[in-house]
Amino acid sequence: MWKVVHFFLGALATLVVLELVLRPLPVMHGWENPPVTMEFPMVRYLPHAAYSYSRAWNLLGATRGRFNNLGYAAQDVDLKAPTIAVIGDSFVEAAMIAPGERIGDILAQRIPLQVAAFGISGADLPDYMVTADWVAGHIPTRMLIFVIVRGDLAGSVKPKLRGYWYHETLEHLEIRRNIAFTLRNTLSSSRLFNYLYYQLKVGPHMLRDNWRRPENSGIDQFGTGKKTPTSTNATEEITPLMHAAAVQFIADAAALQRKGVSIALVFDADRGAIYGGGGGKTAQEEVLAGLAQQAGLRTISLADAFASDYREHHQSFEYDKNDSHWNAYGQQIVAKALLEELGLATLAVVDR
Amino acid sequence: MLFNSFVFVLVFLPLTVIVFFAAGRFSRKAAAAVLAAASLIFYSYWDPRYLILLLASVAINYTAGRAISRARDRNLAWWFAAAGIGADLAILGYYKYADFFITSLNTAGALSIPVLGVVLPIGISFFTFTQIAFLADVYKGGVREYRFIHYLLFVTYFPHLIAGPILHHKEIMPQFEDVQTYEPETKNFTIGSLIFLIGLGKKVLLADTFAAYANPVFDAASLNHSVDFASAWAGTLAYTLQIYFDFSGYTDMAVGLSLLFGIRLPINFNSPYKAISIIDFWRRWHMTLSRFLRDYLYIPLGGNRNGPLRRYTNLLVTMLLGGLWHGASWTFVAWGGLHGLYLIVNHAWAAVFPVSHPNRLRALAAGGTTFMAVVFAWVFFRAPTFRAAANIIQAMVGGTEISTDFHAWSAGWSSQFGLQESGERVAATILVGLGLCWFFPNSQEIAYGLQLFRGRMQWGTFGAVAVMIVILLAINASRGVSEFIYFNF
Repeated sequence: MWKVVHFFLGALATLVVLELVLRPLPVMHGWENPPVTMEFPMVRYLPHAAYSYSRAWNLLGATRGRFNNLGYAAQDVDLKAPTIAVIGDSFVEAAMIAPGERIGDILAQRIPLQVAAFGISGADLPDYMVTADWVAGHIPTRMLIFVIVRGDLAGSVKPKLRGYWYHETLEHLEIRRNIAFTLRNTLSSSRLFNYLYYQLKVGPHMLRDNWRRPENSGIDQFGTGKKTPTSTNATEEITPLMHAAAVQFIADAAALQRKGVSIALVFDADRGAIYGGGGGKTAQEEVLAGLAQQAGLRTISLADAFASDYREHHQSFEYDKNDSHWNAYGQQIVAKALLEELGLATLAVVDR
Repeated sequence: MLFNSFVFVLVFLPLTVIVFFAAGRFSRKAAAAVLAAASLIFYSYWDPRYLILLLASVAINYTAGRAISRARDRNLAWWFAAAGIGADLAILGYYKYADFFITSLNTAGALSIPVLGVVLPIGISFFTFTQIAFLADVYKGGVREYRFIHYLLFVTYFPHLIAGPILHHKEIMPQFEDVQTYEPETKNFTIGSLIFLIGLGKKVLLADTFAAYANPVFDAASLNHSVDFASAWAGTLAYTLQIYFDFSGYTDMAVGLSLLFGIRLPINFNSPYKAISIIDFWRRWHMTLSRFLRDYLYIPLGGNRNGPLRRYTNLLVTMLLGGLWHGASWTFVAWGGLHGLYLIVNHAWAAVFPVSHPNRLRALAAGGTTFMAVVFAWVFFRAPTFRAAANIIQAMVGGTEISTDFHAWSAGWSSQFGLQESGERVAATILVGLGLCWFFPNSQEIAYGLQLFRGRMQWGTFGAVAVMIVILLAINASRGVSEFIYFNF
């Protein structure tokens, strides 16, 4: 019996030491979500809390910051100032990029009008809509820009740990929310937990990650394992439920526009296809953009912007070879496209 | 199955340990059979079709060995040995070298013989050499144990099956006979898991880090892109560290794993970059291969028995074949040839200027020269083509741009090779790696030197090591599959 006790004491002591070692290091932390309330129905982080973000196991490329007054990794928002709101997921949150280089910050530098970014990692279309409703109701909003990226439509119809999804009932779609992330929030106070869960993404899938001989090939001698995004169009299927979710989202957005808020939908491109010389529009974009145009909403495809820039500079837009989020350069391209396509500078002049 | 995967450490290994010792309580033969069966499962996980090849190879060699031992006269025994070794070389030749020779013939004679597209079965070089040594020793009368289950286990024993160490039956078979092997011992678990942890740390924290620096430089060179002086050195030094930490890490893991079963594998590395001569280097680097090449190639060729010229020729031939053993490419032959030449120069120098105990300054100069010679040779080992090797070497000797502005180079490094890390960080990491090689004790010195293995401390240490292993596995898994360099050989 004492053997088992000593074994676990040794293990426990090591865990404590690791926790103490990781405390001062820029391990992911601070990303706790306060419960959603009637006052703040959207998923967000703790306002004014400090955060640190790093993805690599060796904590390279870490960023540190403080959430704004509304609980987003962005500049503070003046609730009385005329605003352009950029709503999206981790592509807008862009925690891996230094503050000042994110879309919201770039736009804010170019437009003499408040630009508020509402990016939450893991958010999908229904989350965007809940946020948009709140923003339109609490801030004098000139324009709402939805940044829609790969997986947003598919993610909109799947139940998830935090946030909202479209649930199919007998007659209609409804938005449901899940707030069952209390346990994870509690564990998030441990740096070791954060390191394992957020950075290393420990999970059952790791048991499946093993090494077998690839079919019809020998050993990849000195394989560098370089990954670049691959085209997803071939595998992207729009199910009837996803289509219904798209219809619902566009209808809600159109309703907001009828209330006097200008709406724009910005679609990320299939960058893997662009690198391969292809077009870059996704099946998700085809569906949503088609519906949006019918409803009189503005749409911007980033495919052309990325494709033309890639043709000229051959510079990739990904954060790194394993992470398809836009890097600082990609954020610049997106911001530039928004400024040009939406005439945001003109809007600002009119407002002034 | 990879040693650095969760499925191996959390599923395969504990199950095998438990069933092995449980079987050992009833029958040693059953326990050996369990370990052999586990080894076959381990091997077939990569691709079950090649299990047949492995078993056929075992059957051929065991049959040949028995035939040699029972042969009535030496002449007949010689023929059996020749047949067995010939079969081994034929199998190795087909699977490893057929396409290489076809391609070489096509290039030399402007022919267009279609290549066979043969897949290299994993571990074939290792299990073939192990069995060639067995047959040679049977012929010399040095083998006493012929139990099939022990022979099967000796060849397929999973800790060494894929990338060594290359075992000698004399050091392993008696351990299968030993009753104590089949009784679990806390000290073996603790020291074994600690050595495994050190090996895993070498692979996950060091080798894979240096691989990320070396790969883009050699990739650029192979694409004929310009590589500057500092980048060429950074890439080559990074590879020098990668291959050491990768291979010695794998060996540590193998040694540690084997110790869990109470079986001691031979040491394969003894701080090779601390060597003060090339002769010394080969006594410290891949020691079991050096031993094999010496006992079964160099000495049969005549060794040093027929004068210096013959000795040097034997050395060169041994090292050229040693290079070819590593891979079916002329760059490996060049690497082996280069080391052959180094050894010749070293022996000649030692004959002219004999020094038994060099002073510190002399040892430092000798160590530095040895290290630089080894680094230079690694370029041929790593580069996929001679053109790529030439590009790297040209840059290393100042044949391309030499930037005197370190900060400019540092900033350019990241963008040129698509890395997040600055050149300064890369340089600092390489210095740390070199420091670990030159100034720190090696795995076995650490594992056996620590006094954490007495009484109850052993179980506490075991618990701590288990946690660290899981953390390192998680780090490794977070980056995807990372195989070991020597799996390719």
